[in-house]
Amino acid sequence: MKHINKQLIFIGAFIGVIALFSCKKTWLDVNTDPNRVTDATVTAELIFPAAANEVGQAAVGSTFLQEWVGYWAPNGGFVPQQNVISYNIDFTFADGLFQNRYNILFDLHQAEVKAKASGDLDLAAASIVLSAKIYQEVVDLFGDVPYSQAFQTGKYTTPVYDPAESIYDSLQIRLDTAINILQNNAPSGAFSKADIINHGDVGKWIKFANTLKLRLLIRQSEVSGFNPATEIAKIQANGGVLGAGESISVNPGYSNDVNKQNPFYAAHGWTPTGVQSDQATDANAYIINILSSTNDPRIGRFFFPGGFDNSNGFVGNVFGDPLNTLAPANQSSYFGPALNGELDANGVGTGYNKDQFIFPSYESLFLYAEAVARGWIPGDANDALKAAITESFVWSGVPDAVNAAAAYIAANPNIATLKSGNSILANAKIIAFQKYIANTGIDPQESFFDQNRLHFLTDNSYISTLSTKISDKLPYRLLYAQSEYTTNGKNTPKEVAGDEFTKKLFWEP
Amino acid sequence: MKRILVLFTVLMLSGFWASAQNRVVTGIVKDDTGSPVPFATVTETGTKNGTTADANGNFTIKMKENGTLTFSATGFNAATATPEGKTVAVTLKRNNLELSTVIVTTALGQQREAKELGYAQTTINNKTLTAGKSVNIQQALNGKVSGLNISTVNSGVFENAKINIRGIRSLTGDNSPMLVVDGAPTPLGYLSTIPPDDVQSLTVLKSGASAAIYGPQAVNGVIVITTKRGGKTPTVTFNSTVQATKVSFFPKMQKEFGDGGGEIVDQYGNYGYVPYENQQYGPKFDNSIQPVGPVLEDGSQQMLPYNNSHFKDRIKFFNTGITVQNSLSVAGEDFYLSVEDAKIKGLVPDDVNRRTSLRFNGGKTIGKFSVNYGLNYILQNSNVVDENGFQTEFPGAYDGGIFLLVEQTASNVPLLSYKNLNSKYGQYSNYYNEYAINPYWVIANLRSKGRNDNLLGNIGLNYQLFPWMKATVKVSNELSFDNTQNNDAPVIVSDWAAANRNAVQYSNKAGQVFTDQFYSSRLNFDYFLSGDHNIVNDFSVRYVVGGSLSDSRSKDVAVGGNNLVVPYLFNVSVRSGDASVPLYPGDNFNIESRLYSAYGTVGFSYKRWANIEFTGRNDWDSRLLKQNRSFFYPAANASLVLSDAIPAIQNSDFLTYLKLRGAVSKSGNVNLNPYSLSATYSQPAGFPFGSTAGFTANGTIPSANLKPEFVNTTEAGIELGFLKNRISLDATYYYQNNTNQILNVSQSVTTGYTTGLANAASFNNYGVELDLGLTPLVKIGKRGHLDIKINASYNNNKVTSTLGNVPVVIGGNNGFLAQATGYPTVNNIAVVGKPAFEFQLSDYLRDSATGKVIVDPVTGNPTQSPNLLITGRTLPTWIVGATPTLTIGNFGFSMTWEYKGGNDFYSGLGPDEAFAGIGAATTLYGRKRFVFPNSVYLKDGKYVDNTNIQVADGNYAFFNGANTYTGIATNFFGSAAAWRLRELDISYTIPGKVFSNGKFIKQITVSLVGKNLFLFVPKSNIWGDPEFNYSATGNTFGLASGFQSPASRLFGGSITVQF
Repeated sequence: MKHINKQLIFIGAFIGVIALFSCKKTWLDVNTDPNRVTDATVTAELIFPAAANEVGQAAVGSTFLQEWVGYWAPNGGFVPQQNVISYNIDFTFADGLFQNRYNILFDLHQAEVKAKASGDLDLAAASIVLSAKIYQEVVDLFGDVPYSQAFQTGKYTTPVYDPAESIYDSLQIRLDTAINILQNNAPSGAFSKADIINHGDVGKWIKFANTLKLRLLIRQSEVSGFNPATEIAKIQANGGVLGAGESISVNPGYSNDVNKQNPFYAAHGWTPTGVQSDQATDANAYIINILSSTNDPRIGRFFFPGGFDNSNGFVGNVFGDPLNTLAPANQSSYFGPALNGELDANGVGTGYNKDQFIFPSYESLFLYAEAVARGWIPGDANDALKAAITESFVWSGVPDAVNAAAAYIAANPNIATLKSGNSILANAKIIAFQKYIANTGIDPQESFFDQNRLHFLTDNSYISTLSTKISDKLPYRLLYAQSEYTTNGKNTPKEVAGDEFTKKLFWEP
Repeated sequence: MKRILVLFTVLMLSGFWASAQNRVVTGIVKDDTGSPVPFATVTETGTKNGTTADANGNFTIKMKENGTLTFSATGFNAATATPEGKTVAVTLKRNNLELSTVIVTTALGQQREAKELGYAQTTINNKTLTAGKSVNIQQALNGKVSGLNISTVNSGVFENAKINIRGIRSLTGDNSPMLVVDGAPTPLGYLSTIPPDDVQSLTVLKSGASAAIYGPQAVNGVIVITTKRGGKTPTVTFNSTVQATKVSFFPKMQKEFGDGGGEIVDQYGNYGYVPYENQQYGPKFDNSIQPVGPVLEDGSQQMLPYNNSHFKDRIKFFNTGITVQNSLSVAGEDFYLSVEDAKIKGLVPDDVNRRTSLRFNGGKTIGKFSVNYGLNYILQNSNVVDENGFQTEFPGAYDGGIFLLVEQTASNVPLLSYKNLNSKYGQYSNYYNEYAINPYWVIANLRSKGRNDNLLGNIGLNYQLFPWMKATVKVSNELSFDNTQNNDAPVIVSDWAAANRNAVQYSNKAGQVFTDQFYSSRLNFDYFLSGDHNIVNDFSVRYVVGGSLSDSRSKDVAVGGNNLVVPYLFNVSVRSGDASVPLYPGDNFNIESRLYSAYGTVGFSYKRWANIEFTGRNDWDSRLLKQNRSFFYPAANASLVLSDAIPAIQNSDFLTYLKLRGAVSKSGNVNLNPYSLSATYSQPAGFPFGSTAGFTANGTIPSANLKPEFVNTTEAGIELGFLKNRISLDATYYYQNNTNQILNVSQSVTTGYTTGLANAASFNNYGVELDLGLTPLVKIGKRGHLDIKINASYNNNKVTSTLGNVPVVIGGNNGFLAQATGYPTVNNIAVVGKPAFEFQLSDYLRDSATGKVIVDPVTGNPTQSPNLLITGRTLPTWIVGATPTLTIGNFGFSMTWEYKGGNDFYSGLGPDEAFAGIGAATTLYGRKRFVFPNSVYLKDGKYVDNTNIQVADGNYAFFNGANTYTGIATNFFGSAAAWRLRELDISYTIPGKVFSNGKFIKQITVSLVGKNLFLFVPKSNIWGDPEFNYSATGNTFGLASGFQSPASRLFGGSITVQF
């Protein structure tokens, strides 16, 4: 029996081991992530700087738009992208762009929600202002897009597409909400630190919100029966739009290292080792011709002279023409000091640590000038236009900018001053053309929208000269993203290639 | 837990029944080679008193003083013996009825006779496994096991393969089978590191039912490997194999046109010759003397005939790879020691991978106590070209991988002459191509070195508590240390090249370094009680009850520097600027997961021809929320050996063996990475900027309430043997219902997350497996015979539901495309009502009535459809393997043929080849305008057949247009059907008596071996091996990448000497 007992003890111990582990439930509690920040631990103040930087990255104009509106062109060193020079785009063409913008919008959304929850209300308002800017641009590029059901995780896995017009209306209301919050809440220390755009200056955030409200209104200017009076009154009452010297820009601390450079400089300036980042693109002959024929001093700010020793002068490439592009690269004009900083001793730009523009001050002044010219805001439209042009000269760093601008305006009365006998549309086109010049290389998107709104470019030679191009005019908008057809097919409006030339946005006349 | 305790108590009680006899005799039953015969039936002659030997042939019987014993075992001739004293040893002679005598190692090392099992399995012995002298086991298994699908997804030196048994059970989770080596769960990756020579036997348990006791990992089947343990007679075996690898399948390339990229076009639209292009859209070869490359600094320019005389340089660029394998093993009493060394030199010049392994297995029995242990150390050193570094050092370059770089060289360019990097035209700055780098420079300067140290150990202790109960404790651990360092040399160009050539390639760049250290450990602790007992005569019970704990952890630290300041000194600290620290999940992590299980199984057997077994297991998994953590799953299987039960069959000369079997089971599986229950944030590139941190939401939103996936399996089988088992047939039908699938569901970016993780789908998976053996098919004289074994598997599946019935994209569309303009969309997708998976591809816009492509009435060009085409399937429906073996005396000849079909594949190389003008398809119309075949155009509101509208440009513009060609995935898509000659082996064994009477050398075997000698594919496949896939992990299939090497064949010789 003694022997048996020993064995029973053994069995007992065995079962004991099993029981011990089954009872010790905490042994299995090892599933807390030691590697990543989770939804529970992240804060609005941690999200906002990344989102703000993303908004800055998104403000670097898309190369295809730079080319379509006549600012830049393939230089012949590389095979030009066939879909860009032929306008023959497909559903994957803008997929990356679409996804990028919604990723930014989601980060801004999360920042807003988490800031509201933690009581950092100004940070929530700033997130709303930035998201209004991006949302408008997404609508202007694609038309109807998901909005009311977007980002409601768990509730809507296939958000519906809201009408573009209703999104515009909602953005006005959201901007009002943001302004209201900013007016009534002093910035927290946490917000001032996280705000790598305005460093807690709520007054500037309010002006930025007003400017975005005005941009929404101006975009709808050619919609028949459109009345902006109520919104204009609010803008005026709440401190007006961004004025001279009040650019919106972002800088988390750019430096000359991989992934750390100013985003524009990283994309179109020089790599940290001093190689041109954008080997395939240079100036477009179209804008070079406009700038040089008007003796515009900004030509040397928007572009560097071409050639290895800058001996070629300002030269551009003819868009879409393989016979008239200059090969190899470096023969034509690269992107100048207003964008990339001055050249150092090695012939490399110094703009790697510049602030990244999000909304340049002169653009606000052009919007203001158009509002005056349309009679929405009282004032002298010519003065407003002059102020806007002058601000562009200042912004782009023309020496003695005020006098240079005055001289430029005096020398080019046909394109730089409004005529009292002109129709509102004719004067709006003059303003748009000046805005177009001011935006060279900076905001091709705005020029693309203005062209589709006002058709102010009368000389059509910015259109591709490629013989196999499929259109003689720019598309009205872009095709929807392929990923949306894959994942949200039932809601994504059905389109076929070619619709981008026939189906207009609601604000396009 | 309760269930198991009850079961346990029942088993304990049953053990106390015993009957009295006069004396106790113990003994062992062995076969004529000295190996134990497990489960032999031992009866006292002329009485009903009997017992059964255990798995090691040992038995104990109480019998009359003067009785004799009869020993019988299926597959052996019966024998009798009269014990003298208390012990007896018996040798049984095999009667060569192979079918029923196979011993199968099942869960927890329990040995079973195949005939008792109610589920399908295939056991392969060492001889079959090593016949083709494969460098690793996964290659050796190809074509030999029904239901097993092994896809070799690349031809590099790392032997990447995907293994599936019976299709798939998880749409997005892991579908690879569990590997158990000597009772220790081991990551499947080790399958390629275990030398085939070390394997005593390998069993493939195909069914979820067979595997219930192994736990969640076994839901995809189990590969059980038993390594050699030594024997009574000491043997020393030496084997040496040398094999050559050569390119066997190169994509079809055009050989008529030289370089040109649309820079020069004459007034008629003809493209001119550009001597420094990477695209081959230039004029036709005309034998004139033309420049190659630009005018160099000294004013000279390479002038060569403009013809296709160097067409084959691109194939010859790839080396003849050499694989040298040497192994030495010593088997003695209670131990086995082996050393193996395999050195693989790849097709890509300088790619090399060397594996050295050392194994020591041992065991000892002292009375009721026994111990066995094994230790395996594997060292792997590799040095290959760093294709990733290639991408990071030359961002924006048209370079893809080495394969594309090589293909981008036009037929008039003497690629091989640029091998010398100091030669005038081979040196970096003078390379002819403005848009590509000399591939020899890449190979010489961008290197990835890896060292992998693996230590696997296991120790098992057994104690025989009672004759009917054994206690076992088993501990095993697998330790892996991985070191990778990528050294990317700086680019140093001449001043002339820096000033005059394309800056993407021809500018100075600092060197780069990336270093990664990975450690993983998997500790398993098993404890169980097991035993068997004859409850009454002819009726026995067998049980296992126990539990296990496992703990897996891994840690990774990775850091890189992109700006090394001292050329060729590759250390992260010798850099300027910030270090690059890549993020989790790829790098820099610390992961732990734990699993606790309790299990039990009980089986009853009547006369060993009627068997039934029940199994239950409960798991507690740390990766789920507390309320979902515990899950239970049961299984049962039964077998009936009618040929043993019915004397009429037993005595039949025609039908020798007949067995019916069936099994049902449920298996649970948590297909989830640890820490997957919460949405996460990470710092985007560039952040932190000094003191400014910033976080962005990652792309996945999990449903926190995730539950395990469950697989319900039903299977039935029949095994037949005819004419003394000269003909054997084994057929299985299985049906699996896979529910609660944990899926990464692609969702609209406008939801905030591009991926949702949820229990989101179910599908079923079913098929038939057939194994036919004809042994021998023909007898040749006295010592010769021709045998043939054929296996065939049919597998199909159907998605029955997905979340909201929305199709689920499983993978694809990135990671395998290099440079084409307008990337085609290609996915693997699960659609309700269709098989998992189909392909989702971009296609031309077609007339829905006729399916013909719609072209523009003016330009003649097709356009891309906004809808993606869903078609084809990724997994083969039929896999057929045939192994004929001819043996005449000491001469042996065997082949393994394999067919896979019913599936399709997409070639990622296709669009790149079209982009660069390499592909043969780009010259189908002689680069002239053509009428798009089978097309229609809109005329007066109706689609009419297009017979005369030619495309605007049948050359560069057509084949580079995303909408017209490169963006249309269906242009690069086709049948993946293939017949392969997987293995060929011709061997001759010289008996030892030729040498010194066999005293020193027992025997020598010399063989000629070949692998993948022939690959037959349909004409439509002009791209490459349809098994290739861009990733060796995940569930994507049929997505070949532009970054892979061409398919290869191996052939060589081998010598084995036994001392």
